[in-house]
Amino acid sequence: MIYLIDDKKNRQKDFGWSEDKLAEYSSFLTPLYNLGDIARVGEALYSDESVILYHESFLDFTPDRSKAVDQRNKLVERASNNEITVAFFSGSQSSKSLSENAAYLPVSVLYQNLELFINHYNRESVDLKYLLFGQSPEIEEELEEKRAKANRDIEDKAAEIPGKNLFIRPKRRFIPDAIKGAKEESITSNDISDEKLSEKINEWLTETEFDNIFIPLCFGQTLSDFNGLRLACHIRCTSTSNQLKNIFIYGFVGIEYLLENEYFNILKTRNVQLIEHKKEAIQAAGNNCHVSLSSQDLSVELRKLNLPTPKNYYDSHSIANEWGIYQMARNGNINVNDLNNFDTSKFESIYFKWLIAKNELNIQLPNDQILKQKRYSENLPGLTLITKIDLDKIPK
Amino acid sequence: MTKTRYDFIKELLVEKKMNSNQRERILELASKEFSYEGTLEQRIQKIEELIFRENTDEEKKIIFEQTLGSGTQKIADLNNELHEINSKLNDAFGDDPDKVSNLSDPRYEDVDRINTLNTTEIDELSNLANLFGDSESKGKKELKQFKGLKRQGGTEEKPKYYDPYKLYEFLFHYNQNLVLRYTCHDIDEDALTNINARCNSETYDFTAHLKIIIEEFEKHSKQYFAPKIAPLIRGYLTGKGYTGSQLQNGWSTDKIREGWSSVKLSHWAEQNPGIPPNWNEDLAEEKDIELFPIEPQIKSPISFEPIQNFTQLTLHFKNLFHVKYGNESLKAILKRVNEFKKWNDVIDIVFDEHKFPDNLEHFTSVDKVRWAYVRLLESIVEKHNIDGKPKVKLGFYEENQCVYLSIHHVNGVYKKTIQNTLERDGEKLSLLIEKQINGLCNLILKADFGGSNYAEINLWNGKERQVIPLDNFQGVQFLLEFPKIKRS
Repeated sequence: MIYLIDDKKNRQKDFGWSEDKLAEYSSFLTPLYNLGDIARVGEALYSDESVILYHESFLDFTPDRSKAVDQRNKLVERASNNEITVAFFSGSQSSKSLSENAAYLPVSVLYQNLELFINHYNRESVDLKYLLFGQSPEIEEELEEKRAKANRDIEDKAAEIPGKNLFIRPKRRFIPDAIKGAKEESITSNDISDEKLSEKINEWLTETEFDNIFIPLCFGQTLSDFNGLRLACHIRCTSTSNQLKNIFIYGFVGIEYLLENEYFNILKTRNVQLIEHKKEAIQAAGNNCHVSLSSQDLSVELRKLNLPTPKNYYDSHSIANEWGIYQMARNGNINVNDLNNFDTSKFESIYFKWLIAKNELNIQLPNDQILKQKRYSENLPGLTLITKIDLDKIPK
Repeated sequence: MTKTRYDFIKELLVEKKMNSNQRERILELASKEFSYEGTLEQRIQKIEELIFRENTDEEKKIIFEQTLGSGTQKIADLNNELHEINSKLNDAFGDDPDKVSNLSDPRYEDVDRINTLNTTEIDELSNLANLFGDSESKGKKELKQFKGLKRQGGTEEKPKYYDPYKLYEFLFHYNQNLVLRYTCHDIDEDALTNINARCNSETYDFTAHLKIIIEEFEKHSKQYFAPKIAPLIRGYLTGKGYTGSQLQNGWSTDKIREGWSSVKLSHWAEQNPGIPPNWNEDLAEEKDIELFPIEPQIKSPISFEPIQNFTQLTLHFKNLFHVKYGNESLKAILKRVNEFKKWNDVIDIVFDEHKFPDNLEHFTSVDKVRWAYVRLLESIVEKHNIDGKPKVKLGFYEENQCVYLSIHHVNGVYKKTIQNTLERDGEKLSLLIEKQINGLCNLILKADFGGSNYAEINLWNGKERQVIPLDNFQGVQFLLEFPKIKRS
């Protein structure tokens, strides 16, 4: 059993753990809110299978504080003797660490990874690293260390690059004052869905035309997703005035970390470059890239991407159906957003955007073709009802 | 001189409005002052009590004049001198004083002088100068002694002993205080509910929050006494020194200017109504709130991590006085120092497997511990006189309500005799005690003094030095003792 010792229900709710969600995991997770709850659990709390998640300030500012402190000291002692597995979490904890069977982590990280940790605990594996680093603990830990080092070593002087530059950075742990005079935008962990990325691209890249676009390789909760590669694909596949501009993806790992990523091939396309997480590298890259991508080249370059079909589709027929809807709407000169009873946000997914861009379907049909099609459609007699089939009357 | 003080007190009693308690206190102090001149230590103690305790400027002025004479001539000059040195050092070595610690440059003397004062203290001197105006040179001279600026090879008086328990008590209760604790934690919904309740507000009101923070700190400073850390915290919360003047050089040795009372933060709060400045980073990100930026970013000397927003600054502030666990444990902090100083190349440093856990928490001035460690290891490297690298074993443990940091030079011999150690400190030990140890911890020496002489000596614990002979002892061990209970 995992015992969650935190007296603040509001906090739990705040970080996405409502009473309903806690109840959903009640077979594996027992929240304890006061000393009475702990007493009821008794010595089972310290059993070999137990994992204790303990908020550092449990019952602070209550009459039970001193008892809670004794309780905590007991936990620390037992953890030191390797008798129990415990994770201490706190709002004053800014970093994560793991020492044998005791973990220390910020409160937000605990609640963020708790579900995943329970799932792994469910499989009879108690590995606190899932709690600290999420789905791929080894690589995440390594990436966090690399990011910390890269940010520690960041130079003071801003890069100087002529022209108009857009520097996109994560909301936190970023390169400060990266490029002199550049337009700076931040991206949050909530912005990682295809739909959100499309929104951001429309917001940032529609009005102003830039010469260079710098994007972070890692953003979002899971660094090893390398979301920057997908963002670069979005920029290339979205019809904006910046679709063909230079894209520099700055990261604190080399290309060897990215080979398995499904968007890796964007790095094989022209004018997309992986560079180091350094101002010096940003400056060098920005000053050395003078060849621009032409619209004629785009389709050819995008064919190198070779994106796999999305996993959320049953089979390729499902995709073909939706692709057919898109094509029919386009040929009929109908804005896809005007379609009823169809979730048009599907066309914001990188896969459809890629299909559209690769096949040059984002280029508007010539006017004479539109007129011709209109004339033909007016001549069509429309749907004729021949008969009705009542499925209930068909023998089974 | 006596006439001046007499006139001043008389004028005060006749002309100033004050309650009976204040009047009584002034009479008592005046009586004491006229009864004896007192040693420098005694006079300084009086100043400290008044300066570090909460008093009105007028009270401070009276006592300051009574104890130091009628003036503080050119304290401002002293400040200017210090600022000049500081500026010279920055030009030469950048922001990191560690870089110069091993240099035999004549400016080394200046570095030590600067280390004695943090920027808050320098500003405080400046504030005092502003308060008292120009006066006679005696003030400058005595203030120099007060701050330990004048060193003459250990021939000066020893500084006044500060009980390190007071530091622990001050910080422990700061962290427990219902209002002040949220100046060193990030704030989530639950904390926000508590703060709003205390501010009698349904939604978060930064101005009201700041008001109760400062009020609570004033109360806290009256109840607990820790002159070695209170200026830093005051600077962080109020942006001001004791006298109420604005700190010009930031509140910490990292020269951090932004704090709870900074004007820019107040503007940020206006633009982000309902959001506390140290809002949990995840929650802020979820709501796409750009936290108050720290520009340019600061590299924390404790964690070596960059500080980019106010929430991170809040957590950094906590790291300045709370040794924690994991990456914020003393072991991790000292490992980073070793790496930065490249000490593993010249010293065999071992963390005692059984006596250096990485989860022992303690409230202390982490920066001063770090500096004490640096100074002691430098001295070990310097004094090591046998073949091979010095071997140093480190321990950090708790015994009988005391936390100990042990720095044990296992293959060393103490260079001085027992008698010399009792009688006189070398220049570097004097400096170490004066700048880092005093008020932070007690210092105990256990050593092989050569010639089969082994002993333990209380180098600094507020008591007269005594020798406890030992049957045998290998090497030289410095024990930094951090009491968690008040000694009788």
